[in-house]
Order: sequence, then structure tokens, then C-alpha cells
Amino acid sequence: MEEYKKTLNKKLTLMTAFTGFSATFIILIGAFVYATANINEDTSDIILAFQIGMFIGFQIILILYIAKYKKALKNQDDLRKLYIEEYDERTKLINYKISGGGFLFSIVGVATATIIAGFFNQIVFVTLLAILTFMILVIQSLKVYYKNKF
Amino acid sequence: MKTCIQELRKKNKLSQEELGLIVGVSRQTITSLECEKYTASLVLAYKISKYFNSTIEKVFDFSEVEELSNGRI
Repeated sequence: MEEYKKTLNKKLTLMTAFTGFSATFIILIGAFVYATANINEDTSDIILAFQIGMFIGFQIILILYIAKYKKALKNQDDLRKLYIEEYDERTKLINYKISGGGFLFSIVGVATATIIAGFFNQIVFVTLLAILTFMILVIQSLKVYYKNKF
Repeated sequence: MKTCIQELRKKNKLSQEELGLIVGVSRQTITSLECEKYTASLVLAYKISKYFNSTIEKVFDFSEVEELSNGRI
């Protein structure tokens, strides 16, 4: 459990740093939007809303996890329960199955969308093709990595 | 895979949650093992058998594996 405590402390440091970074990013975006309100009239609100919303979402999740980890570090029983929750072998197997199957399903979905987009819009087609290439590169790189590892 | 975890657990008057805490897995994992939906890893099988002062072969039923290796399935 001592090793796990060290891991949790490292995670807490990283999470706190990222929370600070997110807060800074949100403030910077807010300031940037305010300063350029008259210049960037063409900029869609949805882009800014997504950027800020994503960071606020991350922050909320991180704050919840920080509170959970801090509580667990104070109590040995909670720490053991958290360890089991994170390292339970059945949950790990479920996660492997989800990520493996989900990734392949996504590749098939993006490939289908790429083919269909080719009939209508070149920009969308090229964007989807880039995403598809990236996904295939990721899967092939991971395959090489794990074949060498095990 | 068939196991006698449930019998051993009841004999030792343990709940699934308690056994899970002892061997380091969740209650749901113990449920899945008892319902034969999930096969334990070697480490978990060892921990469970050791806790009940038994051997892996006695706690877990390997007859299906033996049938497979004998080419019957």
C-alpha cells in the first residue's frame, strides 16, 4: 500500500497542476475573447464554447478525483477500497475489451464516413482521411510496441 | 469455469464483499467467479486458494480444460 500511496501522491500533484493550467487557460480565453470581440466577428461561438466547456469539464472531474484521493489517503480502509476499484482484474479486462473493440468500431465508422464524405465535400473528406490515417498509425504503433514488450 | 468458491465462502461465513477485500478484487468479480461468467487470473486463483488453505485444483474445476487438451471439445 505504501507504493500505491506514492502513486496517488504523484497523481495528486499532476492533477493539481493541470487544474491550475485549466483555470489559466479559461481566464486567457475569456480575456482573448473580450479583447478581440470586435475583430473576430466571424468566429463562431460554438468553438469558444467547446474550448472553455472542455476545460471546465476537465476541471470539475479533476477536482472530484482530487477530493476522492485526498479522502482515501487519510483512511487505510478507503485506500484499500480505492486500490481494489482501480486495480480490479475484471474491471481491467472490461476496459481492455471496450478499448480494443471500441477503437476498431471507430475505425470502421470513420472509414465509412470518409467514403461517403468523398461524394459531397472535399474538405470533410481530407479531414476524415487524416483522422483515419492517424488512427491506423496509432493502432500499428501500439501493435509494434506491445509485440516487443511481451 | 466451475469453482467451489461459494461453498468455501459460506463455510467460512464470509460475504462476497469481505472475500473481495481479502483477495484484492471487487464484490462484482467474486459474483462473476461464482456465477462462472469470469475466469480468475493465476494470481487471483492462487490468492483465493491460499486463503481457504486449499490448492488451485481443488477450488477451480479444470475438467473442461483437460477435455480441451485431450481433444474432446
